[in-house]
Amino acid sequence: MRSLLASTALIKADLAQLARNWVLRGWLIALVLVLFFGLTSTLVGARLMSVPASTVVTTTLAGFLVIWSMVIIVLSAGSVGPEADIVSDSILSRACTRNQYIVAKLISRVIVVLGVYAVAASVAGFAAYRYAACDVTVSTLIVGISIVGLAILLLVTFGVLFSVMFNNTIVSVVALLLLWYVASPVFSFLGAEYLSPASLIRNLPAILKDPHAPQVVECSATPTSINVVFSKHVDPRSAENPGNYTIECPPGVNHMAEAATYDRTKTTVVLSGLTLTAGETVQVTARGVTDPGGTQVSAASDTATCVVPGEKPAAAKPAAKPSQADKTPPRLVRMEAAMSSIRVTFSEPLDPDDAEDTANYLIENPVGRQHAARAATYRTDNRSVLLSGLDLDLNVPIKVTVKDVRDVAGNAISARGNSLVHSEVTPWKYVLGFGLPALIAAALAVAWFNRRDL
Amino acid sequence: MNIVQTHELTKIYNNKVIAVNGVNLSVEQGCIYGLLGPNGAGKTTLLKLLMGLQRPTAGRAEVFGSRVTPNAAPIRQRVGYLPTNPKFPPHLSPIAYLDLIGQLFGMPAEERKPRLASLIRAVDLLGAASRPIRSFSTGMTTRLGIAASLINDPELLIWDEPTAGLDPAGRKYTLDLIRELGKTKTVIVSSHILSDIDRVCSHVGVLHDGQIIYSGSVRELKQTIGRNHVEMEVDAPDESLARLEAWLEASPDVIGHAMRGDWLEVRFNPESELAQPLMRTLQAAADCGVSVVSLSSTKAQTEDAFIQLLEADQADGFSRAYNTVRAQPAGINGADQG
Repeated sequence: MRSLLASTALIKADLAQLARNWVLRGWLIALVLVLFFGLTSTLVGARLMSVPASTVVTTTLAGFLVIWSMVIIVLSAGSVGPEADIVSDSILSRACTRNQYIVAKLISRVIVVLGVYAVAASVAGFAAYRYAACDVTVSTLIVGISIVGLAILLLVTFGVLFSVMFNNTIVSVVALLLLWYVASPVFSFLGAEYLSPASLIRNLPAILKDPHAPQVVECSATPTSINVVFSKHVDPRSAENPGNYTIECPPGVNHMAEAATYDRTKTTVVLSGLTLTAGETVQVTARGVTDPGGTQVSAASDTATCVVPGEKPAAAKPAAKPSQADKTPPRLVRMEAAMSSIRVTFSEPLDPDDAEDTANYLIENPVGRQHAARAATYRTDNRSVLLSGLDLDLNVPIKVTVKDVRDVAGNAISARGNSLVHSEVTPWKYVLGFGLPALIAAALAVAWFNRRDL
Repeated sequence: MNIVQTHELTKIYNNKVIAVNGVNLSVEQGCIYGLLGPNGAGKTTLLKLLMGLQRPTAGRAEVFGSRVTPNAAPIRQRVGYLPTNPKFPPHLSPIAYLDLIGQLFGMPAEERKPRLASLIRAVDLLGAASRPIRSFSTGMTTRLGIAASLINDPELLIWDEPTAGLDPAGRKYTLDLIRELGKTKTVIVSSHILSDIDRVCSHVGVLHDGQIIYSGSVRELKQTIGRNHVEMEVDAPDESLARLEAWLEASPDVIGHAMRGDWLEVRFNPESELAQPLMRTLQAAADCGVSVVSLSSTKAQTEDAFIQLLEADQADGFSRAYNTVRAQPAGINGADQG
């Protein structure tokens, strides 16, 4: 009980001290201004240009990793040093332990920094979720915000550790600034490049985006229109493009809708201007429709069938519109990666010569650094190409972009659907990558402080 | 019962500075123990080691029978510490600071608040109770330090140079307070001011170059070091004094003498009784026509003893390494006479 009272008193005293800190006050003022004006302008732009929510949140979180990290470093690396000459006389000569003192420092700094971060990130997350093109879910938002929070926690614990290690506050601040801003080589050397701030910022959109691709749930038809229901909100621009729908009624007879109208509230697209035969089965395939984050409709669930109400005519004539030749360009639908190879799967059969030309594949790992495959092997049975002879780092995203590949009908792959990103960096890797070193840094700070003469 | 006990306590800073060297110290319950030594002798380091603010390089310190470590909060719960030239959080007021450390001592608010109020009144900081500590003078800061050291009603007080930087009135107040507190508590007070130690302490430890060269009661120190040391206030013409000094020079009882103004210092052989040699000297003074106005055997005894100890310690030089020195100066045992 006495120990708890002492620990609480130390935490409260440090929080009170932080409340008087002009660095913190300045940070809060700047943060409020930046959040207000930054979010407002971004969200206004998002309404006009359909900016994905993941981009809005990433921008805010990246601010903490790149700009506000300087303030966080000053607040944490200046925690113990400035009072090193008074802590012995005023605090540690009383009935408190060094452990209590340094743990109280850690807790109060974490409370303040993560508290400010949590509020700012939550505001940005809510605003983006509510007003931007929503390509995130509540759970992906929580995961993304938590991962950056862990990175900030790591920064705070290292700051307190440096503050304990170096008597001079300026030295500890500069040392941590150097470490943080040139962290990529350090993390790369440790085999965890994905933990560097730059890499984390690159990966954030993928973390924040809803990992589940939109699916076609069901359809219903009238003789002149079809309602296609999607599993989630989709990008209106792609949804309202009639060319993104293949309609067969009866199977084998293609139709083209004259218009596609998206109803956001029902996540439904009405394909109109059709002439369908009553009693016939209609098969609708949505290709090229994406969610607001750019994720295309899952190839496994892009088709729905329904029946046009009414009696089937006794002598049904072929459909009003004749069958059309394949004009749909091939798309990349799946990607799997190993350390030495990548397998990409296409939406339709390809021209083997194009598919096996390694020059047609741009491989980046991480994004921005190119790799060349030694061989490309096409399998006709599952429409996949194996790109081999690679040396990949699975800790960072892998992006494959395909060009000049044509399907058997001669349609070249288009810019939409010609690239996929593969990432094996799961949230748990971040939890371990940031959380474990943060714990170690905190333990080191306690141990180091216990060894110091005061 | 020993409240404080150290065993070969040694502190070496960064393998460069030997601050405390194999100190064996014992302080009994209920005594006022003065730690005496010149500047740089290691007094502050020794007290910080006793408080667990520093880690010993070798040896150990025990307070209340428990080993002192940086995390020895239960020990410090029973100790009141006043550092030399104390530094406190500059932005806090005395009330806020005393309230904070009251909480560190686990005192509930209903006990803490009245206690800090009475202490602020006692150290005469009532008028400055709301001012930030940064605006305090040295004396006010020391008084606040005194209040802070007393807030937990400790059994043991460790005060490091409590009179440093104080004006005469503040110094008298502090020494009187130590004497008063010494009636109910064990007090360890360090100082390089001999008269302060002489006035309030019952026991003393003399620290020199990181070693205790004497530890015992103040009276023993005076008796042993200043033994058979007499000062006479004389009134006589120069030729009479010259005759007396010639007699003293030749006397086998006298090992030294010096004339300082009207005072004649005479040091008799410490191994013999004082009465007979003193009588013979007074008779010689009368025979030489020297009038003895007053006779003193106490003036500056502690100071002399202290200086003699330091001189003896330095003269022993290399032999100090073997600890023989602590038994040398007039039979003083440096270890554990407290």
